[in-house]
Amino acid sequence: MLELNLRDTLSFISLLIGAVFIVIAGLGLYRMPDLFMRMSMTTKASTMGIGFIVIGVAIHFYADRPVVTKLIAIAIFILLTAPVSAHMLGRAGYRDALTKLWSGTWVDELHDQYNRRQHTLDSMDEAELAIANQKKPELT
Amino acid sequence: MTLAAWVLYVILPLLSLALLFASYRVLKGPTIADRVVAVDLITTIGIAIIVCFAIVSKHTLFIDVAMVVALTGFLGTIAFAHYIEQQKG
Repeated sequence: MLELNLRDTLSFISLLIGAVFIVIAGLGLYRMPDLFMRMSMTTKASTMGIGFIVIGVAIHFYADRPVVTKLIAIAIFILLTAPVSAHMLGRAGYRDALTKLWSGTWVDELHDQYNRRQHTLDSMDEAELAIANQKKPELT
Repeated sequence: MTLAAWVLYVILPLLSLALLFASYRVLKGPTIADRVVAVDLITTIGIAIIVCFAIVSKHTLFIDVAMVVALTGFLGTIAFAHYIEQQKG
């Protein structure tokens, strides 16, 4: 049934692991109750999945050096940018007053110290509060 | 069956399933941040599909396309995050 040589078999196994990880990422996005849990699922599992898929394709095109180099570039780029975008989205989501945490969350260290409407911290002194309350230029 | 057929009948349907889950979250997602997370995952799945389709079609040109999608998808997510942070709470 499996009429594949060793190289194709290795490539297919790697592709399958990657695809399963990406399906797990999608399942987590579908089932998790809260923005931060969803972000935890998608960022980690999809980075792992895309890494395995890129490795599988690189095994298939191993004789073609420019293609393998481009695939490595894709993998490194995603490895570098996924944490950055997840960090920025998590920060923006926490600042957004509409974001609800899951009812079972029991560690939220900024809960009593951060005003989500005014974007101020309780530990700020007068000068820092004046800077935080300055009117920002309107976005058009 | 060759590797191209296995990719066509096993890997691409799995990725399409993940795409379906992410699309549900784009339509349903309670806040904008949820939708942006889902769009980010859709971009990643798109890269995976393009790269796998390079095996099916035997055209290595698709790898370049995937590289460009990876570059622009990151910028889109960063722009959305910045916009969510700046909006009136």
